[in-house]
Amino acid sequence: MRDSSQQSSDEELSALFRSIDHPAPALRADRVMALSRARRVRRSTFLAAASLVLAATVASAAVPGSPVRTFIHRAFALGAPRVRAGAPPRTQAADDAVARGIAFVPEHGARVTFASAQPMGSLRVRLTSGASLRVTQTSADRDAEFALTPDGVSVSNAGSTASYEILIPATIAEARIHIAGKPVYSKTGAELSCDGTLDPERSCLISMQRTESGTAPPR
Amino acid sequence: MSASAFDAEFRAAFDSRYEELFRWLDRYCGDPSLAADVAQETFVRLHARGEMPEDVRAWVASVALNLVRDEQRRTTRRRLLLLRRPAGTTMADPEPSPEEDVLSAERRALVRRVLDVMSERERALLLLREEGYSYRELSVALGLNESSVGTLLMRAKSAFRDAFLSLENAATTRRTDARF
Repeated sequence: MRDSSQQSSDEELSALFRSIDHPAPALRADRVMALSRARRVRRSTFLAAASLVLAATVASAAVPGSPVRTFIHRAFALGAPRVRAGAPPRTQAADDAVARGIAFVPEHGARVTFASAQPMGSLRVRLTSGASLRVTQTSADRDAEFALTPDGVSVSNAGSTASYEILIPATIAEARIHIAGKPVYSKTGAELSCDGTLDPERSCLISMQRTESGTAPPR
Repeated sequence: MSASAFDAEFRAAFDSRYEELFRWLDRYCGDPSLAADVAQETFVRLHARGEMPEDVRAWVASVALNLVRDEQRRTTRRRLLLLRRPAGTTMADPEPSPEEDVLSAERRALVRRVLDVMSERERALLLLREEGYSYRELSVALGLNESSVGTLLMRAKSAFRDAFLSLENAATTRRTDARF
């Protein structure tokens, strides 16, 4: 039990503290509860929005070609094609492989085969200092289809009237071109054989038309 | 517990504790605007919990003290809080009471000065005890060992009295010197 002097001292202390009091501002429980609920709604809305953005980002990242996927691949170098330094890729499609042409890097020799002769159109064959053998359609007629084969390129040109150009690396040891099964061009080392017109720059112009015997029709 | 039952419990806790909380916070930090903001925020957080703590008084005191510390660290924000509330409304000094006729403005300033120079722990102990907090509630609210609360409280009271009497005597001496 506290003695009277202690009690008196405590009362004096209480009086001193009361002397510095301010009245409490009016505040009701309802107001506090409303503030709490509003804050909860804001938090829920924020979390929902954040979840939505996250889900949209994940979904977008799963779509091939999407900007998000591109960004992620660039940022983390995921799935980037690995090319051996100093060696060009074995094959490389031209700008529009199926519709307009095809290209690849031959190792020793190459064979280009046109499946059919055509009622019109021509084929120009040129030697190039590059490493790629390139077959392209140079006119906008009905498209031929190009495909790589184990030893070169096959062109499905039935019904086409287009003209073509083939660039052959000058350094290649051997190259052969056939139209409808007939040889129209060959290169063995530096020696060229052309069933068409060979100009001084060793560029060969061959007609895509064939006679029944397989040779170019007379001019 | 259902939402309505919790709301009823919260309302009861608010009605019985709000003024007490504001009062000791006001005494503790000497800033009625800050005390009002912290008291409101403390109860908003209590309601946001969705359930009552085991010891409401200790929880409220502990959260409020942390909020005051946070606010006092952000001195810039504290200034904004002070500016936000127009002066002269609920934050005005109370009308003079008979008690205040006895205690001069000088004495009030001395009380404030002594509280401000006390350590945070001693100040909180003194003011919470003044609101009737038990030793157990004080130990929970301030993170103290319950067995040491009595000793710490006695020291705090003694420190307050000594400092107050010393300052009051000095002021009395100054007044006497000025008279002669």
